[in-house]
Amino acid sequence: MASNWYRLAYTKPYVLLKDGIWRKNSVISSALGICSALAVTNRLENGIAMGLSVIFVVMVASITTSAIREYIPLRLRMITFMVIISTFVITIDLFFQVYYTGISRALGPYLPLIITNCLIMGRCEAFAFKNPPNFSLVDALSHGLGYTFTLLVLSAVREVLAFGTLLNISVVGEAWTNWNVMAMAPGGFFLLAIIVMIVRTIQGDIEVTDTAPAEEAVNETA
Amino acid sequence: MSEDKTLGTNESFDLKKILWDRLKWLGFIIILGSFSSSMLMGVSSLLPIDEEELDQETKLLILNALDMEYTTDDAEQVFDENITIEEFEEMTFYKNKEGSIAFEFTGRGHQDSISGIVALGPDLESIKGLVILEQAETPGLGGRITETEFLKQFRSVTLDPDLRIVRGGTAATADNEVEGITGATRTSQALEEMLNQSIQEALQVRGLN
Repeated sequence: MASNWYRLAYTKPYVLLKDGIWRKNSVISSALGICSALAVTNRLENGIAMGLSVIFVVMVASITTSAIREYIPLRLRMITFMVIISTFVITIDLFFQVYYTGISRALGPYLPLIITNCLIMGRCEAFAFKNPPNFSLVDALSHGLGYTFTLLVLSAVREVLAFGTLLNISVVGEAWTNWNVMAMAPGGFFLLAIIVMIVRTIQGDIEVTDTAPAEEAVNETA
Repeated sequence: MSEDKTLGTNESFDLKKILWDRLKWLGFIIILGSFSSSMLMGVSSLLPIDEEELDQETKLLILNALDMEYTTDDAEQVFDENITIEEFEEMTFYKNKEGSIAFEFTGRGHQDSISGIVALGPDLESIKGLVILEQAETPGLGGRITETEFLKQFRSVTLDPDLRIVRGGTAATADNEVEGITGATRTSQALEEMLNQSIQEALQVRGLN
C-alpha cells in the first residue's frame, strides 16, 4: 500500500514536538504560513485567536488525512487535503461567528483564509500523508504550537510598538509615539526578519544538521 | 496505490486500466465531497444561528446609534417603547421620541463594503451617533473604525456644510470635523464620502414626503 514505499522514518514524540516548535518551526525555518502571520499580528488578541484556530485545524486535518491516507489516490492528494482543510476551517469560522462575533469581525477575511495557510497543507503533504495518525497528531500539534508561538511574539511586539497597548491595555507612558509602520504589513516583515535572524543565530547549527544524516533517524521506532 | 507509479509512463498503455482509475478517482471525490458537505450541514444545524437574536442585536445597535440609555435586559422594551419605524420609499428610518432618526447606510470602503447605522439629531443637521455593522478593512488599521473611541467622535458633529474626516494625527478643529484613523486614510475618506452621500439621500427621501 501507499504508505509503505515513501513513508518517513518516524521519531519519538518529544523529538517531533521539539522539532515543530523550535528547530523546524514552520514560519521561521520554512517560511510557511507567513501570509497570515504578517496580516493578523498587529494585535495580540488577533494573534491568539489565529494561532488557536490554526492549531485546531492543523490537528484535525492531519489526523483525518493520516487516517484515510491509504485510500487517497496519489494524484488527488492536494484536492483531498483542500476539501478536508476547508471543511474544518468553515466549521471553525461558523463557530467564531456565532460565539466570538467580535474576534470574527476583527480577523475579517483571514479566518476563512486559513484554508490557504501553507503550513496546514505542508503538514498534510509532508507528514500526515505518510505517517500513522498518532504521530501525525503530535506533529500537527507541535507545528501548530510553533506557529502560535511565532505569532504571539510577533503580535505582542507589534501591538506595543504600533499602538502602545497589550491586549488593549495601555502599557507605555504618555510620551510614547506610536510606530505606525508596525501596524502595517511592512512592519511585520521587518520584525519577522529580525525574529528569524535571532532564532537562526541561536539555533546556530541548523544548516549543518540538516545536510548531515539526521541523528533522530537512528532512534527509529517503527 | 501502486497503479499510480506506472501511470503516465509509456511502458504499457492500458486504456481500460486508465479509465478504471479515473472512475475510482471520481468515486473517491464524490464520497469525500458528500462526507464533507454532510458534516458542514450537521455543524450549521447544530450551531444556534438564530434569526431573532440577530434582530435583537440590530435593535441594540440602533439604540447605540441614537445614544439612548438601556441595559441588556430591557433593551428590547426600550426599543419598542421609544422607537417608531417609518418607511419612506425604500428606506427604513428609526425615529425616537425626541425626533432623532437613525437609518442604515452602505458604501464602498477601501477593501470591502462597509455598512452601518447612522443617527441624525432632531434638527437633521448634526450626527447623533454612528455604529458599524459590517466591514472587512485591514485589521488594526481600517478595521479600527469599529472602535468606540473613533465612533464616539461622531456624537454631535454638525453637518454644516458637510461631514469631514480629517487625517489621523491632526486634531479636529471645526464642528464638522472628526479625526480619522492614522494609517487608514483611504478607509476614513471612503467612510466620509459614503456618510455624506447617504445622509444626503436620506434627507432627500424624507424631504419628498
